[in-house]
Amino acid sequence: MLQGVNEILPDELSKRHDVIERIIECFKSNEYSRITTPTFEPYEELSKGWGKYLKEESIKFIGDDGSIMVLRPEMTTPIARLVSARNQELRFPQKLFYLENVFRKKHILRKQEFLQIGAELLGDDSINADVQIVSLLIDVMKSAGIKEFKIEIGHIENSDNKSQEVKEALVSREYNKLDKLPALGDSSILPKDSYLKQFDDIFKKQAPENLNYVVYNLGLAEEVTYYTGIIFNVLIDGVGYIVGSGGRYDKLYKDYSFDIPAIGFAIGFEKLITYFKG
Amino acid sequence: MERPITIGLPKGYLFDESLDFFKKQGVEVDDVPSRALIFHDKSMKFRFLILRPTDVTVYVQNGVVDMGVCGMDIVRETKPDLIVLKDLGFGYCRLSVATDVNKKDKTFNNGDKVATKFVNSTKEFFDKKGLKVDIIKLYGSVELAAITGLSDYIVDLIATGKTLKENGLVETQTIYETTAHLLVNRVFYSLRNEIVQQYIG
Repeated sequence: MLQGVNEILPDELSKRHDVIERIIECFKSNEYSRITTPTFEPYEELSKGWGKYLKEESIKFIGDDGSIMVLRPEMTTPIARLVSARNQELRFPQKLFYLENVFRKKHILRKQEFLQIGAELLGDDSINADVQIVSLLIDVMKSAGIKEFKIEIGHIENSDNKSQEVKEALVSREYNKLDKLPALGDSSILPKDSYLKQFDDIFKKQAPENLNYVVYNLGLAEEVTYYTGIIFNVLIDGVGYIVGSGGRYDKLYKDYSFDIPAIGFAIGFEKLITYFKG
Repeated sequence: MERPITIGLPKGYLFDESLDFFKKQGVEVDDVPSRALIFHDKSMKFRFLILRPTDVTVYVQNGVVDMGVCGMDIVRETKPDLIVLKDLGFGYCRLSVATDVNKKDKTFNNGDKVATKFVNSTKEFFDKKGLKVDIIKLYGSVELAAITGLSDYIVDLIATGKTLKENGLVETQTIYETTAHLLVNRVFYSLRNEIVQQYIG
């Protein structure tokens, strides 16, 4: 039997739909519009913005004309490809959300086919945009009916500014190699004049009701090469793995010949709904 | 009541010292009944699962256990998504290449056969040397492969080298050294950081 794919009978499907409907409502009330992309595309064009990880983890096949095709392994780069190609038909800043199945090779922490839900805020490189997207993510989690969760927030500069040794230890999460653990906690841990301090000041003003859901983690670092600014993860108490993540990727669109700043997040829906099964 | 903190302990030669580490942190445990797979401490705040060392990383990644102990060799071999918190210092071994002591040419060559349980670490080691070797995955008694000629070399964990010597094998190169490490689930690390902090230092 084929493993790691979605076979869902009506009862379960209707429960999933209730959650999905509420999330869609949340996106709409925040003036985000839905976008969709092809399920598969030519590999050469789509993979322009990919690092080693997506190149290795994506599922390819040979198309009718003998060229390599790939099933989309996530939605950020297909949207970047599409928006770049048809940018003249869109206004910026552009607020988009998506809700699509994506595909990756089988892995211990995920299925081969899984539903990804996320948002993209394109053409706005301000801290306000960062605050807006994190706050939207919190609203989405709340609208899904999840109570005990946190968004852990870091910034790529917290690892990029360090020595090669420290950076590698942070990325591989071998904290045994660090002199002390990276700071983690509320805004009191943020260095003066740091980007995250500015972020926190604006967040407090614009989304005070969501402040409880934020925890800062100065040790966050990712191997994914496309992040250029703030990065964050969604953590649910009682769900043992990270259910969503996001950040700023201001250089990604350049790979698709349309140079605009971008920030977004993606939630793994199958991971999120384990909250309700627990 | 708060759910207990769940800890994965490795079955086998690392077990006693792993449990001792938690006892030193103030966890009180009676004698562990033989054949137990799960047991609690006296306060019922901690729940221990006894796992195969190679399964510890699986449980930690999925958050079924919050913290676990296993050798760094398993972390290097499987590259799990978790936090390596602390080197516990015990359980020293090295992952080494070994061969028949009587093998004349002990240099590595393209096409050499290498038997091991550590397929990924072995592949990485020979890839870095630019050599293409045939790796044979085995599940135990790896020494036999070199003795019987199933392979030209073996890659295996060596603690003292005694077993190798007794079987007429010799170590030719160390790939890496390893000790037991404390691993932490990523979500637990961030949401229960005050607990994690207690295990540092």
